[in-house]
Amino acid sequence: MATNFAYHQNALVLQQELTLIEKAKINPQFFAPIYNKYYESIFRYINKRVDEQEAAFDITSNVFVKALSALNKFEFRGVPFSSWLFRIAKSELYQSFRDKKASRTVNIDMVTIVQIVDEFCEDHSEENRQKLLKCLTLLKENELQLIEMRFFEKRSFREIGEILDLTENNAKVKTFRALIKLKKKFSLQNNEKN
Amino acid sequence: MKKIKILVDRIELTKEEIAKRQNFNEIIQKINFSKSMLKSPWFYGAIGFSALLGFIILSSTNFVL
Repeated sequence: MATNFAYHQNALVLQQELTLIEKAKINPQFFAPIYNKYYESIFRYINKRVDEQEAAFDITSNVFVKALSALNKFEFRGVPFSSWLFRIAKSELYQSFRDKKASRTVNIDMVTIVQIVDEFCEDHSEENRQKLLKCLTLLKENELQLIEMRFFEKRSFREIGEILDLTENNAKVKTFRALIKLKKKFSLQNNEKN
Repeated sequence: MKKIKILVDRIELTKEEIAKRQNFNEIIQKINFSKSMLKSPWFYGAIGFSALLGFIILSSTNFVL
């Protein structure tokens, strides 16, 4: 599985980021490099979960306004600043779903769908692929987001853990459980058919 | 929230298309606007006036239980 090198940073980069954040607490203009660094990844995270691109741009903008407004509350915990931004993004997304009564969108690629179907059974026919799509909608939100982040966004367990405020090991265990549940739902659909 | 819409192989925006929409000054302006709102006497004046108006209306209304 590919690793997101933009996310995993060494101690020196984290320290430089922290220095900028401390300066931005006094003068918000120092936040510009952080904004430029993370804008794209935050936008992509949001855009994968909403239907309309314009809405994704608006929510992304709100995330940075919220982050900059609440910067004094930020505490460095040895992880990239983006994990804090992702958490704000998650909360802004849910707020937007509530306000606009919009549907939660899951963006997936057929290659990964075929790979997952292959894991569950040998036949990756159109029927089985459609069955998997249906099963994804039957998962709970927290299970769906683990599957989404691990398989469709190719995030490492460490990154998933930091975004969801879990340990790396806990993220691994929970993702594995979500996958087992997805497999069970998939098998159940097969049994119902037979 | 349990309406889930699945999109398969949606065309992603390019790095350049996303970068075009980056506008750090807009973020700063939004923050300055909300800060100036909180500092403005008009903001508190409007709240105070609404509260006073609400109190007058409520106190002049006869509630029959």
